[in-house]
Amino acid sequence: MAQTNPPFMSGVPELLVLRLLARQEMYGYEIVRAVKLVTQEAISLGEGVIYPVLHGLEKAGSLKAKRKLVNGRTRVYYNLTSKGRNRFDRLTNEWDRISGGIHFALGEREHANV
Amino acid sequence: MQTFSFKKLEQDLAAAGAAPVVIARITHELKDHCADAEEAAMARGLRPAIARHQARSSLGSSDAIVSAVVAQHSLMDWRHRWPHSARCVDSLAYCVALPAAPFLYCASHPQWIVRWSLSSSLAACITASILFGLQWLIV
Repeated sequence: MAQTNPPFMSGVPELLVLRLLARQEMYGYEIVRAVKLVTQEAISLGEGVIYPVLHGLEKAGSLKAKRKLVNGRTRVYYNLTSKGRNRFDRLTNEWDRISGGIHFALGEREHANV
Repeated sequence: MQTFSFKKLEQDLAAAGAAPVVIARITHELKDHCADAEEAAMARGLRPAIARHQARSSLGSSDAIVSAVVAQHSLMDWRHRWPHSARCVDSLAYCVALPAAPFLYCASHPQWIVRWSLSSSLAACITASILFGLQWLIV
């Protein structure tokens, strides 16, 4: 059974969505599959949670949605805008800074245990 | 485990104060997502009923989706909830701002007032003389 994500994971779906859409345009189901694939299922999102994130990013101007007819079904494809690319760069820098600090702190703890 | 219900999600979102347009779009995309997941599950050899149950379960709880919507403040603002009122307010704001814009601009650039007054007066004189000339020719 998939583990639940700890509370400090808020903001991670947004970062992952921006990362995936920086490569190519995708629709919701595709994004969820890709998140599972690229994180090796370490991150388990309730799949429905991704849509409010996508709509919020679209409202903020970071994404652009486009409807396409595929196999008789209308799919909403999401694209990263230049504003979204800037947001992704900023979030990545913040993530590197924070994860670096946490990594260092955990390394310190291991030294203390030895 | 309780099966995911779109009806319950719509009710929960409405109770949380989400705008009808937000509810409609999220529900529509979730239904599409479910259809894709169901198709993939059936392609893996699952029976339709099990595939449907699995697809709906994978969406997560209704509460989690509602919390995710509420966390997106931009989806909860009054412009989304009352789009017609927002358009009325925007129109009124433009009606006030547009006539005021040249005056505000002139207030910050006094040298332009003279230039604009002169050019407007000149334009009025030329137009008036053309009209008088035409009237004289016709009469």
